[in-house]
Formats: sequence, structure tokens, C-alpha cells
Amino acid sequence: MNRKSTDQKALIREVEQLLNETDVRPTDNFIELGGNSFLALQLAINLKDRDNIEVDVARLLGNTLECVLITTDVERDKTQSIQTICGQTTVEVVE
Amino acid sequence: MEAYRETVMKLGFGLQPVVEALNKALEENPEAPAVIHNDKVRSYRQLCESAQNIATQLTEMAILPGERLALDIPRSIALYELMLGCLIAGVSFMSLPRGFDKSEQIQEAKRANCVGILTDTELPLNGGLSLRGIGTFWKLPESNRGLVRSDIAGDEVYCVRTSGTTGEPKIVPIMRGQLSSFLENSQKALKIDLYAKWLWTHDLSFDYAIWETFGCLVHCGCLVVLDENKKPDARSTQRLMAKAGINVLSVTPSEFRYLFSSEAGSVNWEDYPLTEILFAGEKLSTSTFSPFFNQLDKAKVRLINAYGPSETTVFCATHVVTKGDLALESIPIGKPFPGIKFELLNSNDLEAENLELNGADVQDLEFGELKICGTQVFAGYEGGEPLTDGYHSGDICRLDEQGRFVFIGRSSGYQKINGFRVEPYEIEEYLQSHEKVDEAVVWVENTSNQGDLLLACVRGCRDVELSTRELRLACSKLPPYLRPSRYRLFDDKQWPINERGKTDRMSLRRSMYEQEEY
Repeated sequence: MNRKSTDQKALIREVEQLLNETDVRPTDNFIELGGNSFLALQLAINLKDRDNIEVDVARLLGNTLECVLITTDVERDKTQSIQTICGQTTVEVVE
Repeated sequence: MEAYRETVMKLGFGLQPVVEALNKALEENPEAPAVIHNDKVRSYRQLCESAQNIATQLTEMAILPGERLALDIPRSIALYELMLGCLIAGVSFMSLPRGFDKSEQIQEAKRANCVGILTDTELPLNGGLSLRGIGTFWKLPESNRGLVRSDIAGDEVYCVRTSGTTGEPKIVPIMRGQLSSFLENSQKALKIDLYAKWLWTHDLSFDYAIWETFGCLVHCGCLVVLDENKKPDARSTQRLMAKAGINVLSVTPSEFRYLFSSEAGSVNWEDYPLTEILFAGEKLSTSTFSPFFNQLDKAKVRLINAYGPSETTVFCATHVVTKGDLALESIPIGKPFPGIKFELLNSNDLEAENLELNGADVQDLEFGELKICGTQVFAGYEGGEPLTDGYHSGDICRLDEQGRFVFIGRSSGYQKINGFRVEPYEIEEYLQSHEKVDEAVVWVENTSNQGDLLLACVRGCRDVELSTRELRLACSKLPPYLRPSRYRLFDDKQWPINERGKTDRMSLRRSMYEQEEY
């Protein structure tokens, strides 16, 4: 089983768990399904911490789930700043 | 008849509709049944005698006019007689919710400044006095109410607790004038026939019971008591309705669905000599009765949607369902009763805009919070500020093209979700407009580690397949911040109903947690 497809499955599972939804597809958009930016960050943190899977949060918000995984170095550099934030294990809500 | 004149005068003092009805009943046929429970019957004559008897005993117990008596008595002939006895004695009654335990009862009665509790059980208080045939009166230590001014003593008829969906439940005192208006208005608006059989199914702690009992009384009707033990059993209730020949049935939409669900077997409306089914307490969606509409129409049963907060004395607007209403999603609440004014307060802008509506000139199809003024509106909560400028109901309504008010939902006063202002009732309405959705409850949950979440519990239409995915896709048309993040689906049987017969929103909210605990 190649890495990308297991990662993709883990991503779908994580979305399902966060939204408590059983029917999530790679062609879905997280926000359209009812996700929001907080949940998106939580998702990125969970996948990074638990499975070492990297997710492009901007794409999570704007694209379909199949486009969201970061797999190349180029992509990784582009999202460096977001990774730094996601390096924390909790997100603090600032009023 | 002469013997009862004084009784009737005292009972009905300030309640003209009651005086007229009782005099009529006693003149025409004093032996006619006034109330029935199982196989016990009381005629109008006996009812008056019992009520007078009770009033005398209350006075002997030094319960003075103007004082408040907390009640913990099951629905019965005795309770009905007690209500009338209190009226004669000028004593106000407040029925405690039947589910309360003894300490809750004592606490509530104290909070409402009651002089004591009349119950058919024992209480951990000193010196109970026996009220023959009814129960025991347990006096509470001195209340904060002090002595009621003699000029208004006896003015207050009853108190109810509001359900308190926002904050602590408040106490609503209702005076003779307000009740009198309600009885007159409802009689004029609905023109229900006299001498009919009415079913009493609601706990007296819910003011719907005031309509069932006093409504029956002013129509010289025969009140049939649904035993508390029988109420949860739909088939048993149906059998009673058929056997007793019930003409006037008063329910909440949830109770109607429960009573006539497919669980209870197929309904043959010919078994019931119904003339009116009244719906109150919740939003009435067409789907609640539409499977039965044609049969009910053929049998000439009027379906009436009644609206009103407890603060405006039971209800203050009614609408009789017509065939044309079947095309609508939810049934209008109609136009306010005479002497009642509805205003829609539109707070979309920084300044609230008031649109005055008397049912006539309607320029715009506006919506807003319903403000209610008039003769049925209460004077203010117990221990609260007196009402000066009408009652803000917290209900969001709109006006349709025919000048009828339509209930949209409760306003929680907007809530914030991750910085955005949301009104849950808007999302509820949107979900409810989906053809497969019957009812939706939406709220904001402020979590500690996942920010603010919008949650939705949805009851699908009967016998229809619905998935949460479908709901998500439907909501993708809404602005992103209005889309619920999590959904929970229920069918008819699982949807929780509280002791008042309404959708149990608190239970729905709790169920979201249960779902997530593994």
C-alpha cells in the first residue's frame, strides 16, 4: 500500500471523526461539509502528531480533500510558517 | 340554584365568563356532568358544593385571600374542585411539577412565596392540616411576601413557572382580569360549541391546563380527566377518547405525533366524535397532521393552531387550519385576539425599527421579535420589574402576505461562533425547509479545545431515509459560518419530549455528548 493512499485514508478518517460524519469523500471540501478554521488546525495537528502526516491548511480550507496532503519538499517549504504554528500540540483560543 | 348564587359570585368574581357559564349550567341542568375521572362523576351542582366546602376549609386553615398555595395533587376531580375552591377563597394556586422530589417542592414553594404546600403525600415539615378528600396542607415558615393589600387580595388566580430555557425559571402571576380576557377572547375567536366533552391531559404546572379546565367551564362543558398513569400510554388515551366521546382535544404537536404515531396502530377518525383539535406550545408544522388532514376535514374536525407565551395568559392568537395551508411549511399563528397588539421588533440595524401591525395595513413582509401588549399580558415576574411597555416574547415571527403572523423560532439573542454572529433559529428554519426534515434544533457549543461549534439535531420525516451527508450538502448553500459542524439524526420514536409535551432541547444537547463518549 503506497504511503500517499494510507495517508489519504487517515485524512478522511480524521475528518470523519472531527465532524462525526460517516460519509466523507476525497472530493469533498472540509468547509463545505461543515468544518471551520479551528477544526482545520486541529486536524492538521492531530495528523502531524499522531501519524506524521502533513496537511496544507490553506488547501484544506479552499480545496477538496484529495489535494490537501503535503508530499513534496517544495510544498513543505511553502507551508513552513503554518507548520510552525501546528508544531504546538494545543490551539489556544484567543478572544 | 339560589343556594349557589353566592358561591358562583365569589368564584367568578372578576371573571364574568365563569359567572355566566356557571349560572347557565346551574339553571338549565344542575345535574349535568361537570367532570369525569375513570368512573367517578360530579355534576355542576356537586362541583359547586365541593368547591364551597374546600373554600371553607381553606379559610379555617387560616389561608387568607391573596395568599399563594403550592399544589402537589394529581390530576383528578379533587384537583379541579380545589382550583375552584381556591377561587372562592381568593387564594392563588401554583402547581408544582409532578416530577419534583420533596426538597425541590419545598424550595420552589418558598421561592414563589407560597404560604404552604397542599399535597397528597407527606412532607418533612411540621404540623400538617388535613383537607378532607384532597390531602394535607403543610405550612411553610413565614414567607417574604408579607400581607397582601386587601384591595388586590384575591386578584391573583394562579402562578406558573416558565420553562426557563434561558436561565432560572421565573414565576408568572396571572390576575383575574387577564384570565377573564383570555376566556372571553378565546370563546369569541373559536366559537366552540357549548356542552361539549373536553379532555384534560396536561399537568396544572403547564398553563395549557388552565385552558383545558377553565375553557371547559366557560363552555358549560364536561371535563374528562386523563389519569396521570394512563397518559404515557397512547392506546389507552385513544380508548378513553373514544369511550368518553371527546369533542375537544388540546395537545402539543409532539404529543399529537406521539398519540397518533404508526406505533399506536392505524387511526380511524370515525371512532372519535372530535370537533376541535387544538395545537399549542410548539411550532406547528404541516407534516404533523397532513397525513390525516383529508379524513379530519371530512369528519369536520377543526384544527386550531394557538400561540402565546405563559406571560400573556395561556395563548393570545389562534388560526384555524384551511386546505390552503397544506402547501405551507408551518402553520400561521394567525392574528392577535381583540385587545391584544402584536408588534415585530426588527433589530437588523443598530436601531430597532418597530412595525405596528393590527392585521390591516401591511407594507413589507418583515420579521422580528414579537412584542405583545394588551389585556392578557401579565404585570411582571414575581420579584421582577413591573412591565411597562409590553412583553418581549423572544419569539421571532414574520407576517405573511395575508397579514397573518407566522412563528419562525425562538431567539436566543444572537450567539457568536468564532467571531461571527449567528441566530440558531435561522439555521433551524433552513434545515426545516428541507423536504426530508421535520424538525431541527441547532445551538452553539463553546468547547475548550475545538473553538465554537455549531451543532444540529435533526428529526427526519416519517418513513424517509435521510443521511447527515445530505444535510451537509444542503447546508453548503449557507454562508460557511452558518453550517453545522456536527449532526445527529433522530426518528420520531427517539426524539425526546419533556414533561410539558414539547421537544426536549436540553436532552438533545446532552445526547450529542453521549454520542461522542467511547
